[in-house]
Parts: sequence; structure tokens; C-alpha cells
Amino acid sequence: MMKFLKMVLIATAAAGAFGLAATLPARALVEIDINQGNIEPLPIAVTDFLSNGDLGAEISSIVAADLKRSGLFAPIDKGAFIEKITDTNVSPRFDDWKVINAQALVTGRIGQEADGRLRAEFRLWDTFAGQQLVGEQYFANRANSRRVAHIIADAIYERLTGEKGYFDTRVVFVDESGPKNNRKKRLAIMDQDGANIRYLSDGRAISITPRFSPTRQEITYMSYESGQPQVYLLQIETGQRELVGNFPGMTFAPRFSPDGQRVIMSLLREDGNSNIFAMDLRSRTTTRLTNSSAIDTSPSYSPDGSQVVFTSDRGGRAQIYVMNADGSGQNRISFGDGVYSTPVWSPRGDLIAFTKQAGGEFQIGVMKIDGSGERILSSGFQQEGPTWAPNGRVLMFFREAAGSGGPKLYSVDLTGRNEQAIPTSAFASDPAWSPLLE
Amino acid sequence: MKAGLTTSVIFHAALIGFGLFTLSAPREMMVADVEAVPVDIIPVESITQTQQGDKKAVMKEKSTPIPTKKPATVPDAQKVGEAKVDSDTKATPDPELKQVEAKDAPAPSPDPAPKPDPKVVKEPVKEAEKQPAAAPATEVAPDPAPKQEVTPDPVAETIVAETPEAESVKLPDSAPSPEAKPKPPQAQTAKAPDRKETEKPAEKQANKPKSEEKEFSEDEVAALLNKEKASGGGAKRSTEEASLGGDKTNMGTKLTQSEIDALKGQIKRCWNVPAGAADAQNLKVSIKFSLTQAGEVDGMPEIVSGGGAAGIERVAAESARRAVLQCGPYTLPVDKYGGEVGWNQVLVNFDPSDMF
Repeated sequence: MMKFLKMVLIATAAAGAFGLAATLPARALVEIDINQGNIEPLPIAVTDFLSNGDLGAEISSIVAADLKRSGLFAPIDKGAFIEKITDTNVSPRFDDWKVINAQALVTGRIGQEADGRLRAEFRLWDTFAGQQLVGEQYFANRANSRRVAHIIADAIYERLTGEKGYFDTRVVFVDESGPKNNRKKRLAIMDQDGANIRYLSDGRAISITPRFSPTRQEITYMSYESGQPQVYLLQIETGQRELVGNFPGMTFAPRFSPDGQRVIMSLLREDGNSNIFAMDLRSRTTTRLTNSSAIDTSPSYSPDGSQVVFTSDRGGRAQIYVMNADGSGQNRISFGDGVYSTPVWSPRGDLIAFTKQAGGEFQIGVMKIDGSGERILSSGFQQEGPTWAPNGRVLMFFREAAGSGGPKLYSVDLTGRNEQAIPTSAFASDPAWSPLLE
Repeated sequence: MKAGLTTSVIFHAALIGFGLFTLSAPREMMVADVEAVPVDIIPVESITQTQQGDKKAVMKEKSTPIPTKKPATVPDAQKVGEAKVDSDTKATPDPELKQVEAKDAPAPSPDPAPKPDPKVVKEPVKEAEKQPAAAPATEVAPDPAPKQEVTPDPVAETIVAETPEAESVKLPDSAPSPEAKPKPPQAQTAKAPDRKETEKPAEKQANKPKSEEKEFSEDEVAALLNKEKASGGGAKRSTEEASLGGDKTNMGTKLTQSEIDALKGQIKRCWNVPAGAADAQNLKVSIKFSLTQAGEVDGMPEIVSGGGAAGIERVAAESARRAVLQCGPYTLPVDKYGGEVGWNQVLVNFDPSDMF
């Protein structure tokens, strides 16, 4: 009995002591919680690259323009720079850059090697921490100097935002010219900043909805050149074309699978029934994925290739559905009031972009892959056809402003900010973004 | 039964009728127009900790003295009494005497006015330390004016050494270092009682010591006397540490809530959140950094938690660190800098999840 009492007493005392110790304040440190910050472009200073001639200035202006167009950076005017960089191997005077409020600094050098190749190197500095963040060196052909600038801009973007860049990419689109009743539509390809435009078809026949292959320098598109709309494959470098499959009826809205092995498209039979088919490019076998009496079209693969998003009007008006890549498990994910079309799965896998017609206007929006969190990024009179940049951060679409005579390309950040017009010489529509170039 | 029912009905009817006709809507409640008073929430430690001792302080024999009540003011004594020594000749410190005095030192008592030590009769009092412990030296002419003055006084030091500790040897010969001096902007309230209580014993002593003078020889006394005029006010302070309060110069005051909010606002200005990232709501980062007393960041802020080695986590950690570095120097109250709860070290938790 006594022993038991004693144990209880000891236990209570121990518990009490522990409890008391637990309530003693830890070493006091002034602690604050900050839950609100700013979302503003990062001020960055891009100095002219050192070079013979003005190649260095050209490179740094391409880099600064890329960073500025992304909406996440605010390059500082060169006239405000205090320190003049003369040697890229020496630490810059960080105080000079802190004073003009540059939070990051880019210095670099570009020159021609003995064998004719270009050698470019750059360093990215954190001015407030006083240290170098990135230092890289590249070799390239003289003709690819713009690509080197884009690659450098990508490296800077990735280091300062944590996401992969999208500047070393190209956009294929449909170049439109001529009067509205006799429009000439031909395929064109350009760098994402609007430079280096090349035409891929001659425009004799209407070619639309071009899409990039994720793995090869290949485009799939639809053309009326055989009289009936058919899907073709085009090799960009060689210009070689081939017909994809030999289907009775019209095929359209083609897209590649993420591994580049299959093309998914819609097939419209004479009886008016439109369904989704996938064709394996190597074996040339086709698989039917939907089998409904409604119009199923605009298919797009998820980045892992396991699912497909498409539109169907089996519920009355066109809405967005998701199914497995083999056609099973089809269910509807959009329930909004409007007509949904052109769904595209983000390369990041987390969002689906779409076009929506509601309330008399066209809207470009994104939603999560389960259909929730629908957000409209841009509204306008006539706009559609979003395409994702390879980092899943920026969308490009085309819009025809009322009375302008033709459509133009626009890009917008996925937060809805920073809508920009893409400069093209003529009217442009149906853009498709390439993956990062090798 | 019937009678009861009837009476009940009648009385109920009467009551209801009465209520119907006499009870009216209650009067409107008049709410006095109260003026809004700005309220600042301050931590209670600012009041409770001023008297709290330092846990790590060495235990002293003497306990904290009780503050005295103000006695009747006594006019300054100007070389009165049977002074047998010439108080105008300079004195030289005699180390031997220190030991002697130590033995004669007054016993520990709560009374801050220790037993009069004749040696200290003519000593001008210098404020060496803040501690108002026992054995303050008396002064011939306590001069209330320049209280904060600390002048080198080798003789005064020896007097101070006579405190019951008998640790005379530890005293430096040079002037006491100013850090023991109370900082002017600090809690004035805490200081006032101290000064008051040491003043009073000094004045009290002015009257007593004469009687015991006879025990000492003139030479010894002469040797001890400092012939400078009395300048400091208050009694001699002892060099005992932590006998009243700790060695916390901060007096335990934390930053108030509005001061913390001001610091928050200063850092928030520079924090650029990585937006649009796939996982932006999970990017919590905690940064710890030290501040100098001028409010500038001392050294490189340390990433305590969150962040990562690459990708978006690294960017989040760097943007948090950049926010801390960019928005300095910070304006914060100087008096709350030091000590355990002072703002010399700050921990900031950045959490963007509410923004998305």
C-alpha cells in the first residue's frame, strides 16, 4: 500500500515537474509571421555582353526582351547602371547595383573561336546576398546566336523562378493573308519572340490546326489539298509530307501523344457522327476511343499519356470530358454555363486550358483537371485556341478584334496577368507551341 | 375546487389586465457617447520583470535592500564637527587600510544605511555602480546636481571595497567602466527609487560619523580623504552584481504588438512571392537573422526551415532572404535591443499560403 502510494506520489511529482518544464518559455527570440507579400516583377540588370562589335549588345537585348515579356522580370534601363563591367571574371561592385535596386545582375561575354564557332558565357549574380548564382558557357554556330541568347534567358529564368524556361522554343501557326472572302492560309513557323519567320506551305490549299510533335521536328496538321480535309505529317527540316491514315470521311483536330508515337484525332463519318481515334505511327493501327452518337472532338493527351481530355456535346451543349487513353472511364468535368471547346492539357499536368463561349463573348480560361477552380484569363469578341508553353506557365491564343480584319496572336500568363500581342507580319491564327528545342 | 379555480381565474385576469394597460415599451437605453481611446497592448513583463532577478546571477549574501522612506531634508554639512583632518589635502590610497576597513564593515542589514564608517566621513560620493547596496560612502556635501557623473576616484574605490564581501582586491583602480552606468533612455521609473534611497542614507550619514572619528588616527584618515569637492549625488554604490535585479540591461521589456507590426510591415514591403508556381502555397520559409543596434542586418541571414536545394523551394528561400536583406536597416526602439527578449535576434516565418 505504502509502496503504491509512494509510486503514485513520485509519478505525480514527475508529471508536475515535466508539465512545469514544458511551460517554461524557450529561449525568447522575437518571432514574426508574414503572410502577405508582393507579386511584382523582379528588378534585374542585364549588362551588355563583352564582345568585339555589337554582337554582345544584341545578345543582351534579346535576353532582356525575353525576360521582360515573361512578365516576371523588370529589366533596368541601361542608362541607370553605375558600374561598367569590363571583366566578367571579377566580382562586380554589388553596392553599385544595390543602389539602383537591381536584385539580380547578368554579365557575360561572347566571342568567336578559332574554328568559327561562337563561345558565349554568362554569370548571374544575387546582388543582395553578394554571390554568384549561375555561371555557364555555351558553344554554337554563328547562325544560332539568337538561340544562344534564348538559352541564356532560360537559364536565368529557371534559376530565379524555379521553373523551366520557355524562351528557346518555336511557335507554328497559320499565316493568313488576302481578303476575307479569299483568304490564303499557309503554315508558318517562328521563334517565340517573333523572329525568324519561315513559311512551310505555299498556301494553295487551306492548311489549319498545325500541332508540334513533342519528340521530333515534325508537325501534324489538317489540309484541304486532297479536296477533303485530311491530316498530314510534315517534317520541318526536309519539308516531307505524308498523309496520316486513309480514313473514309474527314479527319481533323489532330494532336501528338507525349511520346510522339501516336496521333489522336477526330473522324467525321458521312453519317455525321464524329468520334475520336488514335493511330499508332509505327504500326499504323488505329484505335477507336469514343463511340457515341454525339460530336466528340478536340482531343488532347495528358503529359504522362494516360488520359485524354476532349469535348463532347452528348450532354446537350459542348462540355469538357476526360477519359483514359484507351477510351474507358469517360466522365464530364465541366459544368459551367456556356459552350466549351478546344481543351488543352498543360505540360505541367495540373491544369486544362479551354475556350468558352458565354454571354455573347469568347473567353480563354483554365480549370483544374477535376473541373474545379475554373478561372477566366481573357475575354474578348472572338478569341480561341489556347496553346501552352512547355513550362505550363504561359498560354498563347488568337483573337480577332472587332473590325480589325483578321486575327492576331496573343500570350497571357496563367495568373491572368501580362497579356501581350505577338508581332507577326500578317494576320495569324491557330498557334501551337513547340517543346524546348534540343 | 370550484372556488379555487374561480379565484385563480379572477386573479390571473386581473394581473393580465393590469399588465396590458400599465406596462409600456421600456424606455430607450441611453448609451453614452464614448470616445474611442487608442489602445496599445504591452506585454505585462514590462512591469513585472523590472524587479525580477537574473536567474543566472551569483547568489550574494546581501539581500535586496528595502527602499527607504524619504527622511526630513537635512541641510548640507560644510566641514562641521570636530574634524581633525584637513579635508583639502589629497589622499593616497593605502591598501592596508582596505583590509582593516573590511573587518569593520557593517553587518548585512536590510537598512541601506549601513553602520557609519568613520573613514568614509569626508569622502565625496561617486556613483560607481548602479547597485544601491550597503556601505554607501557618505559625503560631506552631498550635491544633488550632477548625479550621473562618474569620475576617477581611487579612494572612493577603496571605500566601495569595504563592503562586507572583503573582495577589495577585485576592484579596478581606474574609473568604473561606463557600462555599469544606467542608460538614460531606459526605464526611468526603475531608476528613480534607487537613486532616492541611496541619497537618503548619504544624508543620514552626514550626521552620524563624527562620533566614531576618534578611533582612527589623523594620518590614516588623511590618507584616505579625497580632497575634491563632493560632486556626485546619492550614496556610493556597491560593486555587487545582481543583488537587485539581474544584469539584464534590458529590464525584460519585450517589443509591444504595434512595434512588432511595424517591423513586419518593414520586411513585408520587400518580399516578392513566387507566384503562379505549381505549389506556391506550400513554400513556407523561416529565416533567422541578427541585427546590430543601428537596425542593420548583421551577417548573412540563416535559413532555418523550409526552402530547398533546388527549384522553386530554393527560389522561395532566396526571395525570403532577399526580402530581409533588402529592407534593412530597420527602425526599432533602441532600449529594447539587448537581453534575451530583445530584438537583436529575429526569426521570421514567411508563409504565402493565404495569398493563393
